[in-house]
Amino acid sequence: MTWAWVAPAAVACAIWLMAQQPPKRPGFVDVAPRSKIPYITNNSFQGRKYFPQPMCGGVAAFDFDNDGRIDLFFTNGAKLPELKKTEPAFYNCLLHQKTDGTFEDVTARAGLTGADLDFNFGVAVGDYDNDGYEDLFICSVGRNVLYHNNGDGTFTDVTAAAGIGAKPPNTLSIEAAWFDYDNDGLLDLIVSNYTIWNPKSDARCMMNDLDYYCDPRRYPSVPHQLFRNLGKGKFADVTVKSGFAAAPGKGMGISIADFNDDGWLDVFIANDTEPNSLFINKKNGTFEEKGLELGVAYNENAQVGSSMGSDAKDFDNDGKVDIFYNNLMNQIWALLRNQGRAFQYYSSRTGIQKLSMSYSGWSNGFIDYNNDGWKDIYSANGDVDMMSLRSPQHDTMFQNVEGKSFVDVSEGLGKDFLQKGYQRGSAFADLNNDGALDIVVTSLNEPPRILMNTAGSGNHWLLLNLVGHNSTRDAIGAKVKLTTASGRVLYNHVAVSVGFMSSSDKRVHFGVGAETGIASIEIDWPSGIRQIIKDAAPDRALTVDEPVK
Amino acid sequence: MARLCGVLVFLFWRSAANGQDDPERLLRSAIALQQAGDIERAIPQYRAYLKLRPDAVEPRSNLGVALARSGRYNEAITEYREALRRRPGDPTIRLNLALALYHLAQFTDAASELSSLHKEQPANQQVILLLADCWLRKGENRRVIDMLSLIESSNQGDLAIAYLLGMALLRDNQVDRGQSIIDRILRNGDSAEARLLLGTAKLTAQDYDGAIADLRQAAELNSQLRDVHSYLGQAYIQTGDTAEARSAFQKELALNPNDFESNLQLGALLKQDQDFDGARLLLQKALLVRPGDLRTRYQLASVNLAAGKLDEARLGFEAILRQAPQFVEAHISLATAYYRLNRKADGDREKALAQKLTLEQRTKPSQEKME
Repeated sequence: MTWAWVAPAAVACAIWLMAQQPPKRPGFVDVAPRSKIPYITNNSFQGRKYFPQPMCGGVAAFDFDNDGRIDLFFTNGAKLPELKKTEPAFYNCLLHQKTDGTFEDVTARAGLTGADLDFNFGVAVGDYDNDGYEDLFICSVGRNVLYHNNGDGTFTDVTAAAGIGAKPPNTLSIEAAWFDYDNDGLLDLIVSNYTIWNPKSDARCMMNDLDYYCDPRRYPSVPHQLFRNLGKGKFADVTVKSGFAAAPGKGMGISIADFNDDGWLDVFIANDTEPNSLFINKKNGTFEEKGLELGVAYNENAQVGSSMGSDAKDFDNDGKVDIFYNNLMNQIWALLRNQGRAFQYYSSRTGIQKLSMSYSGWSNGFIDYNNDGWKDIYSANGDVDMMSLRSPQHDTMFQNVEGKSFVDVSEGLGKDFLQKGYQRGSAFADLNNDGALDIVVTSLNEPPRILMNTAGSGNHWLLLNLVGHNSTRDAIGAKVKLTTASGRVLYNHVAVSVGFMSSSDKRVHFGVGAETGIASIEIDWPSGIRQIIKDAAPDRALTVDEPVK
Repeated sequence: MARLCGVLVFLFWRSAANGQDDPERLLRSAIALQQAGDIERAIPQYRAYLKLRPDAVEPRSNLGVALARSGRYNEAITEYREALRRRPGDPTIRLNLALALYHLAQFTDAASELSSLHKEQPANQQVILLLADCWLRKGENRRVIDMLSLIESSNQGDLAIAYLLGMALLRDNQVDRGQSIIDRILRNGDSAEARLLLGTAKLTAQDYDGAIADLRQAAELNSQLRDVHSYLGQAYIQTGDTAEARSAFQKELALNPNDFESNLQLGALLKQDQDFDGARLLLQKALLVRPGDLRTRYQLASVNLAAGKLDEARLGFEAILRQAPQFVEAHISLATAYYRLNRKADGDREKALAQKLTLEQRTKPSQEKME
């Protein structure tokens, strides 16, 4: 044998060995301390417990100034029982991402402190006027507000002019989501309402002279609201006409997807201690609530849980959109597999039942954190109340094992990921455009964490920025089918409303594992247009414009 | 002609055989075989004797005992009942009948016989313990408590009584009193029984990890102890560990095939796994132990719903609701069945009923202190 033979053999051997190595598991590092962030989630807790306090700290990840870097926005609470943002500690917060990856506070300059608002909950990001700049809708105990992005780094409160803020007095609005329900190319808005409440009507629950948060079941359910975008910055409340008024609930997370694959977007709402709702779009401006019929309203023993945040994605890559929502401790987080005609409860057979039992989850989402092509399940955890040692909790990541089961990999994701607290809102985004999804998390009465994915799994990825022209510019709901060079098929869609009270990066993320080629990308735009892109290269962010009709 | 000859030969042989064994010889032989442990040969001897002497009570009772010993409980019960018809109220036969019924998990009938015996023989400890166990299995915890509390103080050292009473108290959520019984058992040293009771107490107090630790220790001390694996399974279910729960229930059923909770819970787990036939089998067995039990019937109907046997599911839920119209989950599941049967109006009606009942239940006075 000569050296001429040995060298190629050694190289081949090394390549083979590398191919056999399991991909390295990435972790998460909190980079928030690198920036001067004035925001601390402030629910005004001072001993007396008010009902809305556990629901504080919505977060949005979006690029408000179109500089190609994702910025962050946080909602905040208010002084109780005054129900006013009496001091800057209660202000909302807009953080602009600078070129070096740190964040600067631009809230005041943008006009987004919300000083005139009260206790805020969720934030929904959407370019409702298709001007290329993302706008914000904020949910509140009192007045909900629509901020128009002026495109110059400032926002204007246009709620009154838009006709979108009205709601029955004292209605708690928790979360909102933008979507185009009538396929007219304009984003409409669904608002998940929870109950009727104000500080004076707050029920006080005590045990041994200690306050605890009352059971939500003592408060009534209320209808969610649907607002139709009429164009030119105007909206009409179509709650009754559309059928939403007929199915009240205690709305928490909202997930938008075309669950029955008919080309029209449907709405799933996780209702706390009430049956969950699945509003099926009847393609004529109305919806029919079919949660029970389709198997998502209750758990498999026909019981309700404390449904919190939700996400709707295809976890097993079978082409059908599934649903996940989390629950409180000792309940079971629900993974509902879409079987076409109905959903099947999949928590037990996938291991979610066992993994979730000891956690109280709030925000969550399907996130392929290691780019292996399987969407994992992230959850921001922490109990409602602060009653025991088990109440403060860390986040969890349940890794998807080929769409069949999940394993808890949280312990391996680093100390920042495992920080205990009362985590609430969360948003996913590729903050540094490296192809690995990062997570921004709020925690009650703590600064937020900006968890950067350490990447380095060795897996490949693709990030798609879909720009609608016939469809809404945000292309919310656009479906993407990606086929790798080897024939592996992956599915995803544009979804901004993810988890609880939060909005995630609208770009569609795909991990493609070890594959270095993409045979095709098929996009079904909400307008009905199908677009196919052949032979794309991975490891890049790709902007795709919808073909004009 | 050949056929006729055969019949004649057979009749001759039979008559000759009968002639060889007079009744008393047959009986002596049967008793001797039974005493020697040769049950299988004793049984036909008893049967032959009873053919000649059908009114003989003792031999019929002996036949019952022999049949029970060979596991043929149904036949034993027939013989005991026949014997009791001829000698009503005989306490020994009655106790044997109760034991056979107990073995067949017919706890309601067994308890009925034992109750009568208990009235006649209130000091008979065997009857008391068996009756308490039947009631415990039927979920009639209060009756166990009432009966055993009367004799508890005069039987302080009796661990069997302490065990049954402790179990009933814990199941009845009387944790403090149950705990004092556990303490008494523990004073006799660490034992599987004590650990089982401790585990049960922790399960009731929703300390599932603690319950699992004690129950596992109980199983290590005595893996044959009845109920230990069943409770272990129930504790595992509460922690979401369905794989361990499944294994524990399977172990219990291997030892104790008629354990109600194990049959019910494992049936529900098999439903989750879509092993619908396996689930049905176990749930039907649970129903044998507790006839008419609503939880079990609900699970059985749910299995049919999950298996797509929509009409069977519908009939099951409808029957449950005729008996228990306030059963919210049954209304919800019935609505699902109706929807899947394309009976939307019926589905909507059941859904509305479920919502109304839920609301009514929630508006009942709360335990929470209001200010």
